[in-house]
Amino acid sequence: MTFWPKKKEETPSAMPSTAPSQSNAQSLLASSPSQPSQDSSRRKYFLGKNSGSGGTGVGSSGSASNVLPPSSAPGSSSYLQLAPIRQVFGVPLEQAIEQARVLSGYDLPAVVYRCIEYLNFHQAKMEEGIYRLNGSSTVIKNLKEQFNHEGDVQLMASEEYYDIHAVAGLLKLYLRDLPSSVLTRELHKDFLQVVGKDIGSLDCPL
Amino acid sequence: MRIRNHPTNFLSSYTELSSREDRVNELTRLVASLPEANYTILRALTAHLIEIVDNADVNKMTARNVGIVFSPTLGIPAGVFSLLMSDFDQIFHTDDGRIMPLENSDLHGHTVSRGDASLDNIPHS
Repeated sequence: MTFWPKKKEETPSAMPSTAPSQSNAQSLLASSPSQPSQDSSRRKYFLGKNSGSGGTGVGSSGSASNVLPPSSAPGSSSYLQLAPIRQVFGVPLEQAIEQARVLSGYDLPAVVYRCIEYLNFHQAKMEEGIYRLNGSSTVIKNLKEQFNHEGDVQLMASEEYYDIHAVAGLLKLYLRDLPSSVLTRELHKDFLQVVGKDIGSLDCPL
Repeated sequence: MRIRNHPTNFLSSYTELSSREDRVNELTRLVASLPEANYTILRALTAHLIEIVDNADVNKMTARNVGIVFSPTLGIPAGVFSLLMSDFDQIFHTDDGRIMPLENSDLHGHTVSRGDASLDNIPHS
Protein backbone atom coordinates (compact mmCIF):
# COMPACT_ATOMS: atom_id res chain seq x y z
CA MET A 1 0.00 0.00 0.00
CA THR A 2 1.48 3.26 -1.04
CA PHE A 3 0.08 6.32 0.58
CA TRP A 4 1.83 8.94 -1.41
CA PRO A 5 3.62 7.97 -4.56
CA LYS A 6 7.02 9.46 -4.83
CA LYS A 7 7.63 11.98 -7.49
CA LYS A 8 10.35 11.19 -9.90
CA GLU A 9 12.72 13.82 -11.00
CA GLU A 10 14.42 13.84 -14.30
CA THR A 11 17.73 12.13 -14.27
CA PRO A 12 20.81 14.32 -14.14
CA SER A 13 21.95 13.03 -17.47
CA ALA A 14 18.92 14.61 -19.03
CA MET A 15 20.12 18.01 -17.97
CA PRO A 16 22.37 20.05 -20.17
CA SER A 17 25.95 19.45 -19.30
CA THR A 18 26.70 23.11 -19.56
CA ALA A 19 24.23 24.12 -16.89
CA PRO A 20 26.08 26.75 -14.94
CA SER A 21 26.20 27.16 -11.24
CA GLN A 22 24.90 30.56 -10.46
CA SER A 23 26.88 32.73 -8.18
CA ASN A 24 23.96 33.83 -6.10
CA ALA A 25 20.24 33.61 -5.85
CA GLN A 26 19.70 36.91 -7.56
CA SER A 27 21.39 35.85 -10.72
CA LEU A 28 19.13 32.87 -11.09
CA LEU A 29 16.52 34.66 -13.04
CA ALA A 30 18.94 35.15 -15.84
CA SER A 31 19.59 31.62 -16.95
CA SER A 32 22.45 32.54 -19.19
CA PRO A 33 24.96 29.75 -19.53
CA SER A 34 27.87 32.06 -19.06
CA GLN A 35 28.38 33.09 -15.52
CA PRO A 36 29.59 36.59 -14.82
CA SER A 37 33.09 36.36 -13.59
CA GLN A 38 33.58 38.05 -10.26
CA ASP A 39 37.05 36.83 -9.70
CA SER A 40 39.27 36.42 -12.65
CA SER A 41 41.84 34.31 -10.87
CA ARG A 42 39.18 31.91 -9.78
CA ARG A 43 37.82 31.70 -13.24
CA LYS A 44 41.24 31.10 -14.60
CA TYR A 45 41.71 28.32 -12.13
CA PHE A 46 38.64 26.55 -13.29
CA LEU A 47 39.33 27.13 -16.92
CA GLY A 48 42.70 25.62 -16.29
CA LYS A 49 41.02 22.48 -15.13
CA ASN A 50 38.98 22.14 -18.22
CA SER A 51 38.70 24.13 -21.37
CA GLY A 52 35.25 22.87 -22.18
CA SER A 53 32.06 24.73 -21.53
CA GLY A 54 31.72 28.34 -20.53
CA GLY A 55 30.07 27.83 -17.18
CA THR A 56 32.25 27.30 -14.18
CA GLY A 57 29.85 24.78 -12.81
CA VAL A 58 31.23 25.18 -9.36
CA GLY A 59 29.28 26.66 -6.54
CA SER A 60 31.67 25.72 -3.80
CA SER A 61 34.02 28.40 -4.85
CA GLY A 62 36.60 30.17 -2.85
CA SER A 63 40.30 30.03 -2.71
CA ALA A 64 41.76 27.26 -4.76
CA SER A 65 42.70 25.33 -1.66
CA ASN A 66 39.17 24.81 -0.47
CA VAL A 67 37.46 24.45 -3.77
CA LEU A 68 37.85 20.75 -4.05
CA PRO A 69 35.80 18.75 -1.61
CA PRO A 70 37.64 16.01 0.25
CA SER A 71 35.94 13.28 -1.69
CA SER A 72 36.74 14.72 -5.06
CA ALA A 73 39.23 12.63 -6.90
CA PRO A 74 42.39 14.47 -7.78
CA GLY A 75 42.74 15.15 -11.43
CA SER A 76 39.04 15.06 -12.15
CA SER A 77 39.42 16.38 -15.62
CA SER A 78 35.71 16.42 -16.33
CA TYR A 79 35.18 18.84 -13.48
CA LEU A 80 33.20 21.35 -15.47
CA GLN A 81 30.95 18.92 -17.18
CA LEU A 82 29.36 17.80 -13.96
CA ALA A 83 28.71 14.30 -15.13
CA PRO A 84 27.00 12.26 -12.44
CA ILE A 85 30.10 10.27 -11.72
CA ARG A 86 29.42 10.07 -8.00
CA GLN A 87 25.69 9.93 -8.12
CA VAL A 88 23.99 10.27 -4.76
CA PHE A 89 20.48 11.31 -5.77
CA GLY A 90 18.10 8.55 -6.74
CA VAL A 91 20.41 5.74 -5.76
CA PRO A 92 19.90 3.39 -2.82
CA LEU A 93 20.76 4.88 0.55
CA GLU A 94 23.71 2.58 1.12
CA GLN A 95 25.14 3.48 -2.25
CA ALA A 96 24.89 7.21 -1.52
CA ILE A 97 26.73 6.69 1.76
CA GLU A 98 29.37 4.68 -0.03
CA GLN A 99 29.87 7.49 -2.51
CA ALA A 100 30.40 10.11 0.15
CA ARG A 101 30.07 10.34 3.85
CA VAL A 102 31.35 13.14 6.02
CA LEU A 103 32.38 11.25 9.13
CA SER A 104 33.62 7.70 9.25
CA GLY A 105 31.31 5.54 11.28
CA TYR A 106 28.42 7.90 10.73
CA ASP A 107 26.18 6.31 8.14
CA LEU A 108 24.68 9.43 6.66
CA PRO A 109 24.94 10.48 3.02
CA ALA A 110 27.12 13.56 2.74
CA VAL A 111 24.35 15.50 1.01
CA VAL A 112 22.04 15.06 4.00
CA TYR A 113 24.83 15.99 6.38
CA ARG A 114 25.78 19.12 4.43
CA CYS A 115 22.20 20.32 4.12
CA ILE A 116 21.41 19.94 7.82
CA GLU A 117 24.77 21.41 8.78
CA TYR A 118 24.17 24.41 6.54
CA LEU A 119 20.60 24.93 7.71
CA ASN A 120 21.63 24.72 11.35
CA PHE A 121 24.47 27.16 10.83
CA HIS A 122 22.29 29.68 9.04
CA GLN A 123 19.57 29.46 11.66
CA ALA A 124 16.96 28.08 9.30
CA LYS A 125 14.82 27.37 12.33
CA MET A 126 14.26 31.11 12.67
CA GLU A 127 13.05 31.45 9.09
CA GLU A 128 9.35 31.72 8.53
CA GLY A 129 7.99 28.96 6.35
CA ILE A 130 11.19 26.94 6.28
CA TYR A 131 10.58 23.68 4.36
CA ARG A 132 7.20 24.95 3.24
CA LEU A 133 8.38 27.71 0.93
CA ASN A 134 10.01 26.65 -2.28
CA GLY A 135 13.60 27.52 -3.01
CA SER A 136 14.79 28.41 -6.46
CA SER A 137 14.50 25.34 -8.62
CA THR A 138 17.57 26.40 -10.56
CA VAL A 139 19.72 26.57 -7.45
CA ILE A 140 18.36 23.22 -6.30
CA LYS A 141 19.00 21.64 -9.66
CA ASN A 142 22.53 22.97 -9.79
CA LEU A 143 23.31 21.79 -6.28
CA LYS A 144 21.90 18.38 -7.08
CA GLU A 145 24.10 18.22 -10.12
CA GLN A 146 27.13 19.18 -8.09
CA PHE A 147 26.45 16.55 -5.49
CA ASN A 148 25.90 13.94 -8.16
CA HIS A 149 29.22 14.91 -9.65
CA GLU A 150 31.33 15.25 -6.54
CA GLY A 151 29.51 13.12 -4.01
CA ASP A 152 30.12 15.75 -1.39
CA VAL A 153 29.93 19.53 -1.63
CA GLN A 154 31.01 21.57 1.34
CA LEU A 155 28.23 24.11 1.30
CA MET A 156 29.55 25.84 4.40
CA ALA A 157 33.03 26.31 2.98
CA SER A 158 31.68 28.07 -0.03
CA GLU A 159 31.98 31.82 -0.35
CA GLU A 160 28.63 31.66 -1.95
CA TYR A 161 25.50 32.06 0.10
CA TYR A 162 22.86 29.58 -0.84
CA ASP A 163 19.32 30.52 -0.04
CA ILE A 164 18.28 28.34 2.87
CA HIS A 165 14.97 27.52 1.18
CA ALA A 166 16.94 26.10 -1.73
CA VAL A 167 19.07 23.99 0.60
CA ALA A 168 15.94 22.85 2.42
CA GLY A 169 14.48 22.01 -0.97
CA LEU A 170 17.61 20.06 -1.87
CA LEU A 171 17.22 17.93 1.24
CA LYS A 172 13.58 17.27 0.45
CA LEU A 173 14.51 16.41 -3.12
CA TYR A 174 17.11 13.92 -1.95
CA LEU A 175 14.56 12.21 0.28
CA ARG A 176 11.95 12.19 -2.45
CA ASP A 177 14.42 10.68 -4.89
CA LEU A 178 15.26 7.73 -2.67
CA PRO A 179 14.33 4.66 -4.69
CA SER A 180 12.86 2.85 -1.72
CA SER A 181 11.24 3.81 1.53
CA VAL A 182 13.49 5.13 4.25
CA LEU A 183 11.62 2.64 6.44
CA THR A 184 12.85 -0.16 4.15
CA ARG A 185 10.74 -2.28 1.87
CA GLU A 186 10.59 -5.06 4.41
CA LEU A 187 9.32 -2.99 7.31
CA HIS A 188 7.31 -0.33 5.53
CA LYS A 189 4.01 -2.13 5.91
CA ASP A 190 4.69 -2.82 9.56
CA PHE A 191 5.19 0.89 10.07
CA LEU A 192 1.94 1.64 8.32
CA GLN A 193 0.19 -0.91 10.49
CA VAL A 194 1.30 0.91 13.62
CA VAL A 195 -1.04 3.79 13.06
CA GLY A 196 -3.59 2.00 10.97
CA LYS A 197 -5.04 3.28 7.78
CA ASP A 198 -7.41 5.80 9.33
CA ILE A 199 -5.03 7.35 11.79
CA GLY A 200 -2.19 7.29 9.33
CA SER A 201 -4.10 9.30 6.81
CA LEU A 202 -5.70 11.72 9.24
CA ASP A 203 -3.34 14.51 8.42
CA CYS A 204 -2.79 13.47 4.87
CA PRO A 205 -2.51 16.54 2.73
CA LEU A 206 -4.31 16.68 -0.58
CA MET B 1 -0.60 -7.41 7.09
CA ARG B 2 0.18 -8.77 10.48
CA ILE B 3 1.63 -7.22 13.56
CA ARG B 4 4.64 -9.12 14.63
CA ASN B 5 4.84 -10.67 18.04
CA HIS B 6 5.87 -8.29 20.71
CA PRO B 7 6.26 -8.99 24.41
CA THR B 8 3.73 -6.38 25.36
CA ASN B 9 1.47 -6.84 22.42
CA PHE B 10 -1.40 -9.25 22.80
CA LEU B 11 -3.63 -7.65 20.24
CA SER B 12 -5.01 -9.85 17.54
CA SER B 13 -3.68 -9.65 14.04
CA TYR B 14 -6.67 -7.72 12.89
CA THR B 15 -6.79 -5.15 15.62
CA GLU B 16 -5.00 -1.91 15.18
CA LEU B 17 -2.83 -0.77 18.01
CA SER B 18 -5.26 1.16 20.08
CA SER B 19 -3.37 3.12 22.64
CA ARG B 20 -0.75 5.70 21.98
CA GLU B 21 1.64 3.82 24.23
CA ASP B 22 1.22 0.66 22.17
CA ARG B 23 1.93 2.55 19.01
CA VAL B 24 5.05 4.17 20.40
CA ASN B 25 6.30 0.83 21.70
CA GLU B 26 5.75 -0.80 18.36
CA LEU B 27 7.50 2.06 16.57
CA THR B 28 10.40 1.73 18.98
CA ARG B 29 10.70 -1.93 18.12
CA LEU B 30 10.49 -1.30 14.40
CA VAL B 31 13.00 1.55 14.39
CA ALA B 32 15.44 -0.61 16.33
CA SER B 33 15.26 -3.21 13.61
CA LEU B 34 16.04 -0.78 10.80
CA PRO B 35 19.43 -1.10 9.12
CA GLU B 36 22.02 1.34 10.45
CA ALA B 37 21.84 3.63 7.42
CA ASN B 38 18.07 3.92 7.58
CA TYR B 39 18.11 4.47 11.33
CA THR B 40 20.74 7.18 10.99
CA ILE B 41 19.04 9.21 8.30
CA LEU B 42 15.67 8.95 10.00
CA ARG B 43 17.15 10.03 13.31
CA ALA B 44 19.18 12.89 11.86
CA LEU B 45 16.20 14.20 9.96
CA THR B 46 13.78 13.85 12.85
CA ALA B 47 16.17 15.53 15.27
CA HIS B 48 16.64 18.37 12.83
CA LEU B 49 12.91 18.81 12.33
CA ILE B 50 12.26 18.81 16.06
CA GLU B 51 14.49 21.87 16.26
CA ILE B 52 12.41 23.48 13.54
CA VAL B 53 9.15 22.69 15.32
CA ASP B 54 10.55 23.90 18.63
CA ASN B 55 10.69 27.34 17.03
CA ALA B 56 7.27 27.21 15.48
CA ASP B 57 6.35 30.47 17.17
CA VAL B 58 8.93 32.13 14.94
CA ASN B 59 8.97 30.02 11.81
CA LYS B 60 5.28 29.05 11.78
CA MET B 61 6.21 25.44 11.14
CA THR B 62 4.24 23.49 13.68
CA ALA B 63 4.57 19.72 13.97
CA ARG B 64 1.49 19.41 11.83
CA ASN B 65 2.89 21.68 9.12
CA VAL B 66 6.20 19.86 9.09
CA GLY B 67 4.29 16.59 8.87
CA ILE B 68 2.27 17.86 5.94
CA VAL B 69 5.50 18.63 4.11
CA PHE B 70 7.55 15.59 5.04
CA SER B 71 5.04 12.77 5.09
CA PRO B 72 4.63 12.79 1.33
CA THR B 73 8.32 13.50 0.84
CA LEU B 74 9.27 10.43 2.84
CA GLY B 75 6.23 8.44 1.81
CA ILE B 76 5.30 7.65 5.38
CA PRO B 77 2.02 8.39 7.15
CA ALA B 78 1.69 11.65 9.04
CA GLY B 79 0.67 9.62 12.10
CA VAL B 80 3.98 7.77 12.12
CA PHE B 81 5.96 10.89 11.47
CA SER B 82 4.21 12.73 14.26
CA LEU B 83 5.06 9.98 16.77
CA LEU B 84 8.69 9.87 15.63
CA MET B 85 8.96 13.52 16.58
CA SER B 86 6.87 13.53 19.75
CA ASP B 87 8.49 10.42 21.22
CA PHE B 88 11.93 10.85 19.73
CA ASP B 89 13.91 9.91 22.82
CA GLN B 90 12.21 6.58 23.36
CA ILE B 91 11.87 5.58 19.74
CA PHE B 92 15.49 6.34 18.86
CA HIS B 93 16.98 5.24 22.18
CA THR B 94 18.76 8.52 22.67
CA ASP B 95 19.94 7.40 26.11
CA ASP B 96 22.24 4.75 24.67
CA GLY B 97 25.24 7.06 24.82
CA ARG B 98 25.83 7.28 21.09
CA ILE B 99 27.10 10.59 19.84
CA MET B 100 25.13 11.88 16.90
CA PRO B 101 27.07 14.66 15.21
CA LEU B 102 24.29 16.89 13.99
CA GLU B 103 22.09 16.83 17.04
CA ASN B 104 21.62 19.74 19.33
CA SER B 105 21.94 18.83 22.99
CA ASP B 106 18.81 20.82 23.79
CA LEU B 107 16.94 18.28 21.78
CA HIS B 108 16.98 15.50 24.29
CA GLY B 109 14.54 15.48 27.10
CA HIS B 110 11.45 15.93 25.00
CA THR B 111 9.67 13.02 26.51
CA VAL B 112 11.99 12.01 29.32
CA SER B 113 13.48 14.08 32.09
CA ARG B 114 16.39 16.23 31.03
CA GLY B 115 18.83 14.50 33.36
CA ASP B 116 22.29 14.38 31.87
CA ALA B 117 21.07 14.54 28.33
CA SER B 118 23.81 16.97 27.44
CA LEU B 119 26.39 14.29 28.13
CA ASP B 120 25.48 12.24 25.14
CA ASN B 121 26.30 15.01 22.79
CA ILE B 122 29.41 16.63 21.54
CA PRO B 123 30.84 18.61 24.46
CA HIS B 124 32.07 21.55 22.45
CA SER B 125 29.59 23.27 20.25
